[in-house]
Amino acid sequence: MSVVLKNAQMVGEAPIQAGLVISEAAADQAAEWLTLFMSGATTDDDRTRWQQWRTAHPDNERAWQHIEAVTARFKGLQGGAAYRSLMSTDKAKLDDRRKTLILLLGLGLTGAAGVAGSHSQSWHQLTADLSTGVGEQREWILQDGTRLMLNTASAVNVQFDERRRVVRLIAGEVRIVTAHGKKAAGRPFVVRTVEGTVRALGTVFTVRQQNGRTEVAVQESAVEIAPARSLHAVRVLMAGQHTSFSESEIAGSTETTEESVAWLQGRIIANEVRLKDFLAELGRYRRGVVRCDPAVADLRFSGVFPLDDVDDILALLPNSLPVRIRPRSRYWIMVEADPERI
Amino acid sequence: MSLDQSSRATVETLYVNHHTWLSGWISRRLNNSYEALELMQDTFINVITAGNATDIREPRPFLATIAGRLLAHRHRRQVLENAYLEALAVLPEDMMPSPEARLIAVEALQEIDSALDGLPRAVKSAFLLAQLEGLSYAEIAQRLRVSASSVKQYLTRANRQCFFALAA
Repeated sequence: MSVVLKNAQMVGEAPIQAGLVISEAAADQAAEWLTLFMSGATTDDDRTRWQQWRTAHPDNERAWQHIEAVTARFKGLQGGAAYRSLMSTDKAKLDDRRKTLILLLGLGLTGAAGVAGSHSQSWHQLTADLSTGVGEQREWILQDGTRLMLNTASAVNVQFDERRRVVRLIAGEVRIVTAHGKKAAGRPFVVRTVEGTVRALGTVFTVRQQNGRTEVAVQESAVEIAPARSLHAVRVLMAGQHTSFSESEIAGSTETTEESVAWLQGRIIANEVRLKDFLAELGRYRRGVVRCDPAVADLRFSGVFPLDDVDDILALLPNSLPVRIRPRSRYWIMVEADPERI
Repeated sequence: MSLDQSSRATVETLYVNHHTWLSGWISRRLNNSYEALELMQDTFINVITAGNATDIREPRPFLATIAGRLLAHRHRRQVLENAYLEALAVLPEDMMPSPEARLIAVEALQEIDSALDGLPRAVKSAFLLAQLEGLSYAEIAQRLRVSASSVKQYLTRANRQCFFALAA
């Protein structure tokens, strides 16, 4: 069985070349120099000593060259995103998140009043991050019984304390079904976005973060919208209505369309929609880029499609429109005029 | 890569006798028939590359060990990629890297991830905050609620491990 283990270790691991040619001592010292530079407080004196160290031995110089070469690996990364990505593989992180969720649910069982006493500090700041990936939809039940559903590529922070329940929409789209039980009593429920707040008045509603605007649609009862920078612009939106708002004003409301809530049933609906707009909407559910040829951007069509395979939807487009689908890479798809049919 | 006569024959026998079983083994763990097929083939490529197929005594545990490794590797890559793309999704359109740049980034993330493997969470976090976000000792200390001298210790340890685990 020793063969098995030896082989298993070889799989998928890059050979380590540098460790063989650089002495342990030089590697240690190089790491210490790098640590010093990371402090952001190096002096001219430090730099002189560092130069001296580099020329003192070829191993030192090689160790430093190695560090510079490896640093280049970090350069092409988007810092914040790379941080989140690399921390997400940490097992502790996954466990933490699970704990927070259980905590949220557990708090509900005890009731808000019961826990406010002894552990007040941590309960006050009870925070959970919920998110979905591209093409993913998920529903959570919060401690008060509220159901929270996230559409594709969405993220919220849940901040509940004994006075209020706040869901901060960071990205994407959320559907809220508020609870009315004892645990909800006396605590207003608010969805907050960059542009302002949407307060539930015993409700089912959806909120979507768009570029510079927040979209709201109410399915049951009503919500109160308050843009962040205008105290006078507060307005109540009733069931069946849909609107959007910026930091300072709320647009006129229209009737909620079937299209805007189709995602709740895992569908996407096109109703005499321009191809370009449809593809932009579809792109939310698919990783990568879908580009639309301007020559066909304004073609209109209708249809109802299940969201579980977005590539299938794209593949079906040539049946209803004079277009063809050209994949440029796994991530990049071009929808363009079909020269044989236009 | 050159294969001598006997090890070629062994790999062939191995493939003929076990590839259906291995496909089934992988399919039970991976919900995508195309990728399952790819992974099955990668497993045999690994056997060929290792070049010691003739030493194998228990073929199925052997193949399952390699396939399991590849599966874990693939899963970890997916976790990294999903988290990276999810975090990018909140960026404005003009700041979004191109699909090609994203692929390169995921490769780099994978390498860095395995170089940092085994480090305590706080050490890893301190290192990434310094390296990716350019935070100072004091800022990292505040974020992690530890002393600045701990941050220095963390960074020395992570720098040592990460930089010398990665090939230049």
